[in-house]
Amino acid sequence: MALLTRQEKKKIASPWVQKVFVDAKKTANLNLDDLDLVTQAAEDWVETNQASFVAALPEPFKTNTNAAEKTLMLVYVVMKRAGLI
Amino acid sequence: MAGGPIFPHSAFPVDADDVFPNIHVGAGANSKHDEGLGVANATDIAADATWRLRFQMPPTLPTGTGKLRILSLSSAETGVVKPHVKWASVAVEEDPSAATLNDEGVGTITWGSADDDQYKETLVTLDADTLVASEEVVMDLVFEDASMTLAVVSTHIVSIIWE
Repeated sequence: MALLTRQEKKKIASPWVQKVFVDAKKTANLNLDDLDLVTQAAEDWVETNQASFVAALPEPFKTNTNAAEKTLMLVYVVMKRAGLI
Repeated sequence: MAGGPIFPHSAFPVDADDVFPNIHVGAGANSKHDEGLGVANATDIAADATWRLRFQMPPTLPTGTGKLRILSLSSAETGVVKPHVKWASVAVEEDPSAATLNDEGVGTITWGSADDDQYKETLVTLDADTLVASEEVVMDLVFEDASMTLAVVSTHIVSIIWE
């Protein structure tokens, strides 16, 4: 598994904090240690499941995109689920 | 006789991305605005961040032990902030920019259950240097990145008291 640095975990958690705590005016009921654990867990889950994601992709997308482009598609689908696009 | 509070007449955010003037807005419906020294949340703070403060001492000091009193506010029920106080007393005709600041060590302000929007008090005894009547207290209030976990902005109201 790829271990995220503290700075990488902070960078991931920052927009989540802005959206969930600040924009929504919600009292922070999680701290940075809690968020560090979940960002690493999510990273680990992506690492574990990336092969099955690629296997599920249809052609011609699968053949004609690189790893970063495939990841980007997953990001946009997840962002749609989160109501961000 | 105990005395104070003396508030800083100057507060400069040295690391302006991570510390900034801020107004804490409480969730209550009444008197909910508190202006103070803002500190970025732990996901955004990039490094140790400094508020540079100046306090003028009165011509006669109160009796008692001089302390920095920090009242802290945040919309959080978990997390810690790590204030690190360094200061020196500087006389007239001395150069504050050349003064060596004396270290009071790193403290911890902890937010727990139901602490959101409540004043949290931290008292730091100022004994690394000597408070002197009519001199200027030159202070760096550093908020340390390491071990800081508070996930939202905090606001701090500081003063010097004697008790």
